[in-house]
Amino acid sequence: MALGILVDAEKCTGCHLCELVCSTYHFGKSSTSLARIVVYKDKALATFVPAVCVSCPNMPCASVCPTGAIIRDPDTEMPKVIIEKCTSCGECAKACPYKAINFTKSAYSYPLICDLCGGDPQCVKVCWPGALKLVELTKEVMRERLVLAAKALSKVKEIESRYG
Amino acid sequence: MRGMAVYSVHGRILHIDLSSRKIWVEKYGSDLLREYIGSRGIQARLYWDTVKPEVRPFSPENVVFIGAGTFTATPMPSAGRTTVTFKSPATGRYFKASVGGDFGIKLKLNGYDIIAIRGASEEPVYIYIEDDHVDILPAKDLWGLDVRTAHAKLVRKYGIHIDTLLIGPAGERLVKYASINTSVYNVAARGGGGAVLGYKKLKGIVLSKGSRSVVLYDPRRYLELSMKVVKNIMNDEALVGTAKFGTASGTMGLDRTNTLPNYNFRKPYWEHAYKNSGEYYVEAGYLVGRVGCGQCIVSCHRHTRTSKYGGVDTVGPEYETSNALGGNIGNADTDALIKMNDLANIYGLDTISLGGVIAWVMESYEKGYLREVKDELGTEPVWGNIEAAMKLIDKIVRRDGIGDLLAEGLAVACRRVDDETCKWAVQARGLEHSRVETRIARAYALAFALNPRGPDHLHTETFAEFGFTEDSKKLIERITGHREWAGVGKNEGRPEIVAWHEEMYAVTDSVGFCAFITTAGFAVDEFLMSELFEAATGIPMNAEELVRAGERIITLERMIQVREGRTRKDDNLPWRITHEKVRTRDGKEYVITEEELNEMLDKYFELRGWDKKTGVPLPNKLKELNLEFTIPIAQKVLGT
Repeated sequence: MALGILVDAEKCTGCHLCELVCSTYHFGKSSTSLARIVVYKDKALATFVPAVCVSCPNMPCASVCPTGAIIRDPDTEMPKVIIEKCTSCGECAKACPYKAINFTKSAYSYPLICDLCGGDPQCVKVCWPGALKLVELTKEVMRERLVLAAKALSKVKEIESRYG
Repeated sequence: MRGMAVYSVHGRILHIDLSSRKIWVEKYGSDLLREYIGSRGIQARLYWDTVKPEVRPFSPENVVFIGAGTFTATPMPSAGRTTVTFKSPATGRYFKASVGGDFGIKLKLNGYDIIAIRGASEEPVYIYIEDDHVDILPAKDLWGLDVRTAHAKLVRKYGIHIDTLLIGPAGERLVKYASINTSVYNVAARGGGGAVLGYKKLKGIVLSKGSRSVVLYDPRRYLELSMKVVKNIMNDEALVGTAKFGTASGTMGLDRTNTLPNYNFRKPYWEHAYKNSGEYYVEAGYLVGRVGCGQCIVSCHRHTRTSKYGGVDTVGPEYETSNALGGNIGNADTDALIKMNDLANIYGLDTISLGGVIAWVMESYEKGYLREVKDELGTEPVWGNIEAAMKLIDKIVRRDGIGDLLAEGLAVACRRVDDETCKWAVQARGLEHSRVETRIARAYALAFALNPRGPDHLHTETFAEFGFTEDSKKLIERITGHREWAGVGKNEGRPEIVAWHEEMYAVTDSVGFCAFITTAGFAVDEFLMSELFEAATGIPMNAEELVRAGERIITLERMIQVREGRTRKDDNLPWRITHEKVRTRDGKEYVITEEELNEMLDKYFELRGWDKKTGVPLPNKLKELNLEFTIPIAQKVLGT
């Protein structure tokens, strides 16, 4: 059965370690702009929300891509960016319903989407607070995951609307 | 720039002169990093080169260095701390404060290790940094705002991924114990750094998300070691407790060992201590959630809420605050404690000094001094009177009435009121004493006497002395050869315990680790830390060399203060600690006499290779540590 990351934003303490581990694992250097997971936060109200790809069944990121540069990776079931085809337009990041695509053009020309580190996600290993868990994706878990992701998204939107 | 290319840091110092509005980048190489390890150490060296002894704390020539640790913005847990170095308006000397939050991460992701704030602006300004783009901007509409409101305003302008470093109204009004806040609730609290920025008319610094990355020498090895540190943290007895109950989990341990100073250091235990404890904050439902500093999976910071006192949604209180504004002033009202912690945070006040000042007012009033304060406050400043305490906070931050005097700190205030009141002004060298009973915790006493900051914990906290955990007993045995020397009320082995902690703290701060990881919990020792340093920087470094670098930093800091006039006479403790007995719940009495302190100091100086008479490091020791450039000053004082 496929594995996936289950995010419980309620448990996130906003430390950013997942992002720095992700970036170093993939790029050999450390930056939140190079991470395939994004932590949103409101420091004044101590609210923290990690966002990572939940591998939507309909893949809105792929649907909006003008060049067909996003496909589903057959091994991990996660969306994968074909860099040769990508034009760095950023439409996928805008279309992601969970704000889980990191696209910081000044740091890296292509959108960053979780690839589960090929099946052994490093971020989960360091998340002692327990906001990130590696789970088997049963139907129930997939449903729960979408519910949690929707909740997390509404928190991010709350933060964004609080600050205009 | 000397030495090879650097890894794990950028080798870039951002200089910003608020007088001339000039902005420039200074580069440094691996030599400086090898000798001084990172932020705290490098900044001590920069301070030596830049801030001459005649520079006044409130002058454009005072420089505020703000630097991220060498492991900060790397995938290393609990290594996100930032060091702030400046000449303190409270002590008049070199001062280093340490702070968590995200500021250090973002500083390095914008491409800098250290910012040096020079000069002074005539009008209020703030600084905006986005990679190479650095702006000094008018802060008219931010000046006067509390930290939370100013932060929100800046987030509205720049987006949710920024971080801020800010001062509150206390810093603007030059309160001598005004703090510098990062990420709203993380505080470089001590020494009045906020007042120095206030003098410079700098409201704060905004860091963009930053698009730079930190390049590691051996990322694969470093990640492996990082996973090892994660496991060590998760298996550490002390850190498991800290994660669950926060730093205020210390309250009950200190109460049990008669080292919890209540009523202005007159009672080392308290029947209501539980109301000031991290366990109670959880049990009574004040805790909303945990908050992590940058990279910190322990996440001991607390998100708390109360519906009382107009409703508060905030972060904290930490242990020190829980006692300073708790038992220290006779306060068992946890809602009031949370409210006062929030006020101090957003006004930008150091809660340790604040608690010390309020307790001194209460004791003075009790003893027949400051009787006029009753009319000014409209209530008597007696123990446990929350209304009086809150009114005092308000007056201090506005420098209104008695608040103007209290804003100067205890050393100044007690002399202006009556020399007799200095006996219970629990401060030394201009800094109010941290929240631990040093008459009973004797390594703390020695460390506090030597500390360049003053009698304070966050420079050399000898937490292992308590022997609360098996690991801490083992450490005391490793340092002194005697397991039974763990525990309070003992003088044995204290110089050795202090020396080890001083060195460990110096390198811990410099790489950006939280002291909890290395000296309260024990997830990383000097052996593992040297491996991390090698993998991060590529600079060969064994444990012995790392500890030696710690000694170099400690010794340079001493030499800085020697140049600023420090003598052995300054290696002292507050009058109350050396002259008045404190009684434990079992009726045992403790005082640490000046003779006892002197005996420990003699041993310590011998151990260090410093002159016993003057406390000045000897020239051959300075040479051994590659601190030759300080030798002329040492010779001048030693008369050789």
